Amino acid sequence: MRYKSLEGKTVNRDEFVPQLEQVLEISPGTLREDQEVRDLEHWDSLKLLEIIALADEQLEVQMDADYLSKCVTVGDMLKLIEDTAARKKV
Amino acid sequence: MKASIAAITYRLPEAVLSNDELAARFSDWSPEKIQEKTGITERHIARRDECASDLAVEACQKLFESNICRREDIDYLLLCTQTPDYFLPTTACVVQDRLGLPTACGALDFNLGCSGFVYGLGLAKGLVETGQAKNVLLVTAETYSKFIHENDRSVRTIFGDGAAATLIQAVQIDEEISDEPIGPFIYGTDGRGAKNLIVPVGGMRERVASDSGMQADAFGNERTSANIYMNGGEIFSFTLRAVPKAVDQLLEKTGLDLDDVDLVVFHQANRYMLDHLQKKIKIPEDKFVIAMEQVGNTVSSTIPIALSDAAASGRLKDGQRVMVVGFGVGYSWAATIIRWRMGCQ
Repeated sequence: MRYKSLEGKTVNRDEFVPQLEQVLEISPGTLREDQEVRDLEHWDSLKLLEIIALADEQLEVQMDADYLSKCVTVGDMLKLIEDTAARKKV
Repeated sequence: MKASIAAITYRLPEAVLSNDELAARFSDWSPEKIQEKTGITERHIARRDECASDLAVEACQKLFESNICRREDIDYLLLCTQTPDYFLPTTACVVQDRLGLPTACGALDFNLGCSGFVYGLGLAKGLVETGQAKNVLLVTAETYSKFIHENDRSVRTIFGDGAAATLIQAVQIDEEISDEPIGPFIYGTDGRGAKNLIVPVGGMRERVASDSGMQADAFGNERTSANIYMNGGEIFSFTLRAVPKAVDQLLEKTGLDLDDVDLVVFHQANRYMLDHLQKKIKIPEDKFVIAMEQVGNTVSSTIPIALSDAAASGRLKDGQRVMVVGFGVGYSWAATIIRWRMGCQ
């Protein structure tokens, strides 16, 4: 069994958002795109790692942590993840 | 002649930093949360007057006490540290004298962090297999705690001090029936990551900080520019890019599959990162070593400490193949396969 990385995947928001809510410890279905990341109750440096891990696990993309940490809103973050996944696909 | 690991011993400072103490300072993190997120319950911290050479000497003394090898037989000392006692002289020279190693012994320091042990194995193999040395003492010794600001939980929760001594000896191997005792190697370097794990001030580029003020990051961690800074997110992204690839390259180079490897020991960076890498690379859980709960991330000593503990507990047995992968500050990474045969000479 040899490790082989998979191709990049397209973000399916219906699947991805509930997982992001779980990571951010937000009640299911309550994620708002205009929500500011730093105001999230459980936001800390480890959450950043967990989002990087989630994107890697679900979408096979390695996020740029600096860009990710500069996202102001949850919507910015989702868009960055989607853009990164789309770039990898090409 | 082939280079083979004959023994590993290690030494940790007496003083312990517990999760309770950390939780008392960082009030929004409970001891349980620190344990859950880092996989660490305690780290050993060097005393103010306890330096890399002190830990190195004690780790080596333990090795000699085991009677695996006499001091006078050591003909090369490789010492890996980023926290040397002095800018000069070389810490390895200080250690040679304090251990009473022969003056005919070669000795040098090399400056690497989490990848240092694997690089050291590569250097030792080169020395032994070109006939330059028969008994190489590879010492990894680090006191990162001296760089850490007490209000920076991003590093304080993770790093512990310690030193490990690994004896690499020249052995006669029947190449027909056995693989290389150490090797082949995969190496990697990407200096673009230099800024993400760094002590900016104190070296020659800036000996004393021009602005000595405290800086706080977005997560409330405080440090000065003379303290260690770690961009955890970037380091994590780097490992996700570099480590699976290095594992794949090593398997390709050896012609082995993960099924042929008995144990996998990665640099013990933090539990969360290791669990994720294990799943990503699809390494069976029973082959994947986690050995940081009582020691934390001891930088270049995590791999020898994990190997030593795995051997002591019977998890690692003679004849088994172990994959070791070091990765981190630099960025620098390296991977190799060890055929475990302790004390064989």
